[in-house]
Amino acid sequence: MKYLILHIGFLLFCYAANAQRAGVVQNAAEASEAANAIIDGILGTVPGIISGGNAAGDFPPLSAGECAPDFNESSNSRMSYQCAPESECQNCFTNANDKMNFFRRQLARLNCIYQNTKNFTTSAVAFGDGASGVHAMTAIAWQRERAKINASFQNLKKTYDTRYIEFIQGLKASLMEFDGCENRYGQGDWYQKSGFIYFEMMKERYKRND
Amino acid sequence: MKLIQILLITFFCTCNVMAQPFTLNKNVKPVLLNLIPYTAKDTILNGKKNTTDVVQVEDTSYYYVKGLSIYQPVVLNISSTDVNNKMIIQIAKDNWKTPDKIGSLNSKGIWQATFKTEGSFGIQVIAPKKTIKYKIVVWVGNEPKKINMPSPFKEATAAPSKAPAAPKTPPKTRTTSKSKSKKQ
Repeated sequence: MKYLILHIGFLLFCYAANAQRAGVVQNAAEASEAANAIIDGILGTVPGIISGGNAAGDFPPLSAGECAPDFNESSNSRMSYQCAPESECQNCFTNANDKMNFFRRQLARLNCIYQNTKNFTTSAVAFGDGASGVHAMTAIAWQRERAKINASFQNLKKTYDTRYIEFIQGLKASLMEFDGCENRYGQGDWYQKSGFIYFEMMKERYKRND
Repeated sequence: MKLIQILLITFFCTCNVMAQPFTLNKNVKPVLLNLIPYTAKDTILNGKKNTTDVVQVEDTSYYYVKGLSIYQPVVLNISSTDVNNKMIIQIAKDNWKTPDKIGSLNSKGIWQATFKTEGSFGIQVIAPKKTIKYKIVVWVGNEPKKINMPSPFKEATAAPSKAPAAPKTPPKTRTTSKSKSKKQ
């Protein structure tokens, strides 16, 4: 019991020490109407936030070198399709389209996570290499830290490759749904004629090449 | 369901990669600004928030926000009732030493930034005098279910070939990429 009290006391001490270091009086994690009113007021001053549908598209990336999703494709890889507006085929195409766009979005985000982490790692290693000679931290200690950073990045590469396969397979499945729609309502062999080129382009575009 | 699993896996992968800007200084111990759900009057502004009141007694304070997606809009607002407060605000992505945004309070005692970023970002507040008081407000919008992206389709150029199954309602006209893109 005594040890438990001591342990809790120590934890409270650590918490108090951290709070003192930061000087944080109140980290308002509770929902309060006053806080909401403040946020309502702030958001009211942000132009286009509602008209933009709450999407971050018009907001600039925080860092100048930060990756932002780019969905533009060359006209050569664009696909053809046939489905008149207001016709029955629309349901079929809409479902396939939503799935395809989901995987386009995930692939773009995955790529950005990778590129940003690569930038972070490169920047951190360069900074550490430059500073280790003059910083209090010894060169040996930095080498250990450096190895951890690099190991973490290597781990990310494996994760990227796994997710890449999942998302690419998802993209192909959605294109095959399109193929089914086209076979039913439009041109036969759509995937071989049109979808295949787009799929190959996307496969190459998001394949890790380092 | 599988889509949700994929989203969750991606999210967890991101969180462990880089939680805060890099530093070799072991004395830099940033405070995490926890995001909690925020329900707005206009549902389009629903998202997450953090409001933190600070009395800073040290030269420099460090904070960070994590768990962000590049598809979420972020509004960061720092304000003080002391309009003579000359504190310097630095926002950093990769390294505390190389801030991506630097600012100070305006004549109304407010500094605000809007941006999008993946993962996390750090906030550094440098005080010109011993004790300063200020409020940090972070709002992060929900990731929209659909985002605007260009259509990967163009107008069909070949005549329809033999379809395996006859369409119930044959398309009367060919559509253009413009009409398709409306759905996105």
